Amino acid sequence: MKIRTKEDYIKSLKDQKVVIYYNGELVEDRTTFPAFIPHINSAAKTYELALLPENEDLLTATSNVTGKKINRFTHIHQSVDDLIKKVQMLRLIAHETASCFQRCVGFDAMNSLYMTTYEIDEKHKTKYFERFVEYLKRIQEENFMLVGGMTDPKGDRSKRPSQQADPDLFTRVVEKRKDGIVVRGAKAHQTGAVNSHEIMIMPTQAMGEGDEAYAVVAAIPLDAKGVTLIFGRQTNDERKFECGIDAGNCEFGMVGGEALVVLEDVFVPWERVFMCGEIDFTGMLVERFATLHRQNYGGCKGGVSDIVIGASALAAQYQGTLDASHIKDKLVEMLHLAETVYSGSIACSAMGSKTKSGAYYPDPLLANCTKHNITRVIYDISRLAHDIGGGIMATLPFDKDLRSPVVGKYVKKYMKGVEGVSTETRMKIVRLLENMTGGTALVESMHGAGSPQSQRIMYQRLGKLGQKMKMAKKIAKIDE
Amino acid sequence: MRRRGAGDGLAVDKRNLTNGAETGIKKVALKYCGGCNPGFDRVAYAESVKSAAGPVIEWVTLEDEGFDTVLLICGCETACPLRSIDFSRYRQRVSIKNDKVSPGDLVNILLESEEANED
Repeated sequence: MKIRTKEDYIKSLKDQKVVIYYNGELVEDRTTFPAFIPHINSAAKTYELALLPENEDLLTATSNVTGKKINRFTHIHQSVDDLIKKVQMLRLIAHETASCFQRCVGFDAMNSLYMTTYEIDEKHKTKYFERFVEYLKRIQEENFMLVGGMTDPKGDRSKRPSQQADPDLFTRVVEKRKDGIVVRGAKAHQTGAVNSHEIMIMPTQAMGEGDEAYAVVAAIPLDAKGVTLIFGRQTNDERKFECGIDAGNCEFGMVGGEALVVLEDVFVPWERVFMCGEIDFTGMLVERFATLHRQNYGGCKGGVSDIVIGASALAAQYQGTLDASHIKDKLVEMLHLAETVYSGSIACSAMGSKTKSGAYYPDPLLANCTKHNITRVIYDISRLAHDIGGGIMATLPFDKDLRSPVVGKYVKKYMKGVEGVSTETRMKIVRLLENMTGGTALVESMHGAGSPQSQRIMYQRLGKLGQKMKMAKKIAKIDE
Repeated sequence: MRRRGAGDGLAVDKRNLTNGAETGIKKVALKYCGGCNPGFDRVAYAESVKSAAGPVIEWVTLEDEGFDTVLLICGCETACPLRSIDFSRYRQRVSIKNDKVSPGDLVNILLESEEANED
């Protein structure tokens, strides 16, 4: 089915029966389960906004393979302008959800595979690119949601995949058949998995000799036999079941709704396999996916930060501190930080270049720098939000207390700020700030799209330190 | 003929306008930028322009046919569609980058092009 609307999207999820566990229980219907609804609502925005004339310029594109108008989340970047529009789109959607909308991971998987399969074929005379383009046409036509499955559990990080005590800690091919392959392992922290249709598994790192079985890329429907999803626990997750003020952002939730995706001897036909044993291209694929994904963060986190800044200003207004000079100064600092991360995403896009496949690729050094800034700046923005919002964020009574026939009057009386603003309104904004600036939301900024150390490794590789030393020598007039 | 407003976020670009007002109703294609971080509510502004225009303007999209004029509503000075869309095929483009121009004035500008052409 071709998914156009939010209703189409939800129906498609309902029609596909996926094995998902939440808190030890099998979820019967993922579309009506309270813990998943906010994540479904977030991802649905990627469909809804594409239908609005005021947003279609960012949310849609023209396919380079079919010439048809498609959702941008299924597009292969054809220019620097496409790279910039991707970032602009992410900021726009973040303004609507104040939360992760998950679909960029599959988007980045598609783009990294398009350019990498082209180059694998060029060297190895394989047919992966052709296969991938056929798969891409299907995604563009049906507009389904793809999980970008890169992160393996990895077990003992000091050992290579083939050296692990348990060989399944990196996803691998356990059998090659005439008609396809059998895959075993798991993908961890999979954003949007419980409300997606398929997962694209990819190697988690550069593979060396002996790791050939781990050099595998394949598209797997999430209802395939042997696939089990286990949803990750989030900060204050039980508040979603209450559907009240305490959830903070009850419609769209927090971060992406991550899950552990277990692959227990899953059969994948060859037409869905886009790498199988080509260890020499694993590093390139990982780096390209990481760069494309790190490009995003100033867009989506910049947009989410816009909401945090707005909520902080409202919290200050509701308690009568908005005009204090130190509050104004902190808000200005937050604005500076949000625009700084956005600038990084725009810069790496503006400096993007064309790959052999024709697809465009952001500047990898600047993209890594962008994500590295996120690992710090979002904490800084959140710290300032906590400073402005006040201790009430951590001590506010329950929503039910506000509505209690016995103590409600006390909550209304003593939690009130300025005249003209109800206690309930003040509580709503404080809870929104709490939702967006603590716990899971912060950890995602640190580790999503790779931990800070992975970005620092890229600085060492791409930072042209030797050239900088030469330039310093020249200025200092050192000849030796 | 080309006229550009400075500082009011308005730009008018007229090329080879012909009289297309046989019916008395002018067709104008409304196009928005993507809206990544707009400085004003573009949709509310467009609605107020439509309201000010009443029945004298028939609003269409760029995908339709039979119009000379495009009203481009952008959320900021960057006006991304000017970079990514070739507007030279349209005879008149009026672009808005903020909401400082009153909807009534904007409607007059959109309609004025025909009068100018008749001169």
